[in-house]
Amino acid sequence: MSVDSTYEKEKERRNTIWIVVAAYNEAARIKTTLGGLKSLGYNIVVVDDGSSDATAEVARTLPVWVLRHPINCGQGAALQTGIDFALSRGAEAIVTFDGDGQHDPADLPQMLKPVWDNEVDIALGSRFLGRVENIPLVRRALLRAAILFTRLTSGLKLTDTHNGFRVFSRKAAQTIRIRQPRMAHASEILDQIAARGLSYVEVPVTIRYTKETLEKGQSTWDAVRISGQLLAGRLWK
Amino acid sequence: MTPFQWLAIPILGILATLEVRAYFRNHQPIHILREFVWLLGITLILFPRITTMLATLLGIGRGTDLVFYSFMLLSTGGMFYLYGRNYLLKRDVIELIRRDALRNATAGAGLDSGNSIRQPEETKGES
Repeated sequence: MSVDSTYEKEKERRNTIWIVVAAYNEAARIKTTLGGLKSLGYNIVVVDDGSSDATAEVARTLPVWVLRHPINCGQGAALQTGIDFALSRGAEAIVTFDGDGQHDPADLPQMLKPVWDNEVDIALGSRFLGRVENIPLVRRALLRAAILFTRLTSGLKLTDTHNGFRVFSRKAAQTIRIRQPRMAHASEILDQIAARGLSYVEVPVTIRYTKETLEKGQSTWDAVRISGQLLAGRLWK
Repeated sequence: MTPFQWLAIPILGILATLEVRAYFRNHQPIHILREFVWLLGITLILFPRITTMLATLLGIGRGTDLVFYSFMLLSTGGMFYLYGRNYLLKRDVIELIRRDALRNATAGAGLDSGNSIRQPEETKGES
């Protein structure tokens, strides 16, 4: 096999990998996040979820696709929009990646591997198997409670249930439909993985909390709200 | 009859008549339910002792308490119903927003060169 054809095959392969970045008021950080991802050579779609700042404009200065929700619908809704777009473009693997820069693009190859090698349908990032920097105690306790909650409701034994870094195979992305528009989508995805019998693996990743990401993160009250949203989602299908 | 009865019963009577007329126009079952509510209102205002009798039967004691409890239960049910409607409506709105976003996808600077994916115009009507 010639060097040219190997290169072409690799290029073709990379063209079927899509990274979905949901962003809300991330004008200050989106360029850094996308810069780190772009160097990996995959397709990127940014879904600006009704930002009031210049998130979409900043994203458009980079070689990425930009979709815009005219009003803020929530991270879950934005991710589903990005996934729909990627699927319509023939994506074979879809990565979800937070727009605030808390994930490390260097973790992407090891996240992709099990899905790309058809070992599993979904790879889920786990900060507790990997590394987590500057996490406050309350946040850690909330995440632990979420792990217990997921174990009770879905039966999945995971070490990190609210990590936005995931890789879906095409089949998994077509099977799972995110209907929870806001933060409850993370639990909803896990519920659907369990209900539809999709195979998964947890992969160690690094999460870096900064002052800004913590300000946008979830509070104790949000945990109650998420439980309410999940209940509503089950009552009104 | 008390002044309140003179005031309330004609209003409820008009509403009950309009409801009957609406039912014969479109045969929607909701009009029968509303008709029942208006007629119940007329009956209870005309014969207030009925609520007291019912309250005693149910072990509540006072007729006013029965009305209050019934109102609370109906309000809770109504709120629950409206929350559900709002929840489903929001879901539909998001779906519309999604379709609009997919139709208007834009390529960032430098994406066209050497990229095999289609231009935004070609995505129209796909969603």
